[in-house]
Amino acid sequence: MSRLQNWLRIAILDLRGDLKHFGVLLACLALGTMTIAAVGSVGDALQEAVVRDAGRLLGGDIEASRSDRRANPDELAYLKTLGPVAEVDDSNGRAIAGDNTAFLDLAAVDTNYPLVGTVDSPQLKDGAKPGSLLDNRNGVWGAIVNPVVLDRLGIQLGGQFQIGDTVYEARGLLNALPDSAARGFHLGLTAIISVEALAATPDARPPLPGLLTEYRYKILLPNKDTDNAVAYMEGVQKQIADHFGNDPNWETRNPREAAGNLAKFYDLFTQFLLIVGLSALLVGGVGVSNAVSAYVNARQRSIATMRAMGATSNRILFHFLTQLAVMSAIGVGIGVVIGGTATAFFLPILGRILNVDLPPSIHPYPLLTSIGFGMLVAFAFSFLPLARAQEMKPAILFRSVGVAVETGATRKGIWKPRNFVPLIVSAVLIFLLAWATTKDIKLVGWYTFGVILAFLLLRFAGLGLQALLRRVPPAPNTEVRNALKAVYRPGSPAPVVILSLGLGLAMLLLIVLIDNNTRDQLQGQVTRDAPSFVATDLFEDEANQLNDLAKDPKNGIAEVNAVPMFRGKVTQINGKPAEDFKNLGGEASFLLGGDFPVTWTAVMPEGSTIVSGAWWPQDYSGEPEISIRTTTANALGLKVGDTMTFDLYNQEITAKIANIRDFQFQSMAMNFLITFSPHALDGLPGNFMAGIKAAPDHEQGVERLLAHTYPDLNFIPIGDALNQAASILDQLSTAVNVVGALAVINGLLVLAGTMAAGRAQRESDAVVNKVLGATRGDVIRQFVLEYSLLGAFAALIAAVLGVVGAWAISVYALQIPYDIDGVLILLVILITVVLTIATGAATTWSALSTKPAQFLRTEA
Amino acid sequence: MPTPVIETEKTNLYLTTGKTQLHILKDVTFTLNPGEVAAVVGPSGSGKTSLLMVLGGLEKATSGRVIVGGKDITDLNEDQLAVFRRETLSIVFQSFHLIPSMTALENVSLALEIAEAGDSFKQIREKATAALEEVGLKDRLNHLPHALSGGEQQRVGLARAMVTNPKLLLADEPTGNLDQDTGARVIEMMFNLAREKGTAILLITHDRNLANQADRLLTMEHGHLAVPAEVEPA
Repeated sequence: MSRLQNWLRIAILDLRGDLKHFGVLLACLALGTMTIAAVGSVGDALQEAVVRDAGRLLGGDIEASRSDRRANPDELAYLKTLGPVAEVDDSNGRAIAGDNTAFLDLAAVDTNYPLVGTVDSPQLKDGAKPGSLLDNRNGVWGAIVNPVVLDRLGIQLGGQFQIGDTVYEARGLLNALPDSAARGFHLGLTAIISVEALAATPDARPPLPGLLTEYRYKILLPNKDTDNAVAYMEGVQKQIADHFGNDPNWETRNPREAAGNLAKFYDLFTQFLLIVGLSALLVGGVGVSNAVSAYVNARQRSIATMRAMGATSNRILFHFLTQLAVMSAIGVGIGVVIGGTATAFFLPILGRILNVDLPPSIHPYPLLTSIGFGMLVAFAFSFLPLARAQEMKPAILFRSVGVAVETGATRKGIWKPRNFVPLIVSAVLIFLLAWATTKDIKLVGWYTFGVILAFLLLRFAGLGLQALLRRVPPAPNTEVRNALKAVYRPGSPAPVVILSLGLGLAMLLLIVLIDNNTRDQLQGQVTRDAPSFVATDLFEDEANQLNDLAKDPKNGIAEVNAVPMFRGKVTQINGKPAEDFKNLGGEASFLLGGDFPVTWTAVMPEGSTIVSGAWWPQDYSGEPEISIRTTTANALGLKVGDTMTFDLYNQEITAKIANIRDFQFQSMAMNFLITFSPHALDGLPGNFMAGIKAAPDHEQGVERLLAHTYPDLNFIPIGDALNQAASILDQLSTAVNVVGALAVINGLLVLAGTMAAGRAQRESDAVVNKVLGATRGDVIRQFVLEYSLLGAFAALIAAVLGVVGAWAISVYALQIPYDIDGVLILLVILITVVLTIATGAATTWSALSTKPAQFLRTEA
Repeated sequence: MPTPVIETEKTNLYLTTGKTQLHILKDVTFTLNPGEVAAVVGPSGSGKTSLLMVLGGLEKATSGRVIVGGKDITDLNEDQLAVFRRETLSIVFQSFHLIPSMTALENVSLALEIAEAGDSFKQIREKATAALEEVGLKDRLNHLPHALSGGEQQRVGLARAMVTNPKLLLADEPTGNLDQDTGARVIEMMFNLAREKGTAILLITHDRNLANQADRLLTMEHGHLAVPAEVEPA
């Protein structure tokens, strides 16, 4: 048998009977690896879904659109040179059948639609395109409608309804559009009609002034580079922009952009998962280090015996590295298997939540990287304790030493190249692997910097505490005195405890704070106070009538908020013509594209937060001032003190920006992008805009009532769409919670392991104390005092590290707002420290049950 | 004249604890010939164990020369000392120091495996089995240490020490944890085996009766080793 085979055999044989020492190591590696495997697999699956199903999500590879008109023949001809083109025009209309109405989200399609995927309708068999059902038959256009439309209108399949004077027939039921995820937020119940039908329906129009019909042209690119799909598509987008002379009215988007806000939340979710995964692994590494240290301590005499028998230091290192490799492979293997299979099981569930097709699948690359991470972390965090084993002198077989006294490597010895070079190499490999996995060098770089800083800070803090306590005069109380002495005595585990507890706690705080802020960011997008319907252009008496309707509970209206509404357009910004600002795109285009609604109010609407400037007094009657939304200010590059000039009903009004604020549109507070101060719009012929909140389960009744009472008004149903978005964000938020909880469990496990690892020393000390006459209560009290001091000290440093780390990652990496929740921080610290001390006290109590004679005989 | 197994010349050992330097061994000079059995006696703290550690390469002498098995070990590093130990000597410990996760057979085999004498796995096992049979533990080959009595554990320790046919056996209070009868039996085995194989023994002991069984009696006092020419009768 070769020499190496021999060494291997003995190392594995020697594992027998000592497996209990590896419990914490196995758990930490399994949990950390499982988290990384799951995180990587989910991220991979999401990315794959967007790229693989790009065409299906968007209904094409690229979408070119404009909102002022359809493409002219030349423009359409150009788009067709890129590949097959399908047109989809988005608008709205109110369908009427007898006394019943339904607000429709109209998707007007051409005969090529859909280019990718199929419309899910029982009336369209074998992937038939909807065009066949939408044609004009004897003056009646076809429509494929959401089944709820039939209920709302009180008709059957084949029944007729009107939008204005245009007659439609419901020829099919619509279950789902293939590109619904890309259509984003839309108002009303979806119905497919033809583009010709839309052109023949003058009463079809978007629900709110300022909103326009979107004319979308989906293009399927025939020879796309699937390996670099995103870059390729972005290249085609640039080509289109160049062809149209960078006309800002032509907008293009690729599938990732089409996912819009939801993609942003997927990214946020994935990044959060990655941070949690890294943190879980790091905390796991601390557990590994403690476990291996404890193991080496427990095997001191065996190591020394082997050295006495003539085993070289390399032999010792090989012996224990082999054992570590075997146990790490088992722990990592368990983590990968659980992470991979659990993810495969949960992917379809997650997909349903996120409205993305995520079939059950195993993703080899993330699983391989998680194995890499697991083994590298195991090596990196255990190498120094193993180096100690290597340096252990056989003299301890003859000298009387404490159970946990370091008898081998001194601090100087650690700095031998053969000790720190493998450590540096493994740390660099972990960094490179993290970079390759996250593709975010900034995140990984700052995270690494933070971790190294944390290590150094905690390590030196521990030594500093010991140096400080040595200089403190002895306390008068014996227990306090002994507890303090225990912290700085030679061989005290205090530096290790402070490092482990501090690092573990810092990681926990980091995860909990980021979790909190991520959930706030997601939940912040969910509006619980949204109106069920919004109506515009009400006269004053109509607004008053609405308020009266709300007073009668039988009507099912819970709340009405009618606010004044005026229409105007921006003519100047800071004295410069508005045309100079037109190519800014986005919200700026909307504001500068024509008339849009404005309002005035004395009292700041509920739910707003002033970001800069100040609100005017309620009785303000000075020069016109305006309050604008943060996004508006950012889009136009405006600040408090700047001026905007408006043309409102042919009257020019210049107003100074008094404040910039944040608010949600979809709330009963009825916010506008521009809000004037009191009396600024006096004398102008405005109307009212009203938000109506229906009592639960009364939405349909209220819609019918409003349609009957105000046949000429458009009541836009907001609730359905918002509820759908809220549900997705709620689920994402829950997922963030679950993942955060996993990392927290990992952290607590490591901290418990830290306590368990020190058990042998505490047992030894406890027995000696017992022999000298101390009661169990005396010993436990001293332990609690000692570890409370260490815990409080470590917690202080950990709190700073956790809060600063969470701030840096939230603001710079995740780019989400950061809030410190003092109560949460305190709670996490208290629970962790108490749990850790309780675990340690419990293990010490059990150690105290050992009979001294039994222990002393074993030690001899 | 055969080459001595042990040769020391003005060997000194200083140990530092905190700021204090302790002079443990003071100008120790003696020799031990192949096959000789020498007992070192002396009060606690006299330096007996430290002498054994210096001779075993477990502690480095501060000054003077230490030649064991013909090799000057004064300036060897840790790994060189480890190699020296496996080629030259074995140690029997007061506390046995068997590997707790290995059976009696595996513990004895370990010594041969570390020695790397080129034996196959089968040969190693055969030698280890024979060594255990020599100490009367034929029926305990597959027992773990915790299942063996003190005397049996020490016999395993002895088998482990002798299986490599060392030139020198260092024994540190080998009967210290055994009752009198068991101790006597173990010592008898040790001396017989050593004499059979021509192994020199340096034995640390408090037991005068045991010391008197040795060929030479060396007395350690305050770090000085007194080396009379012959053992005085009891």
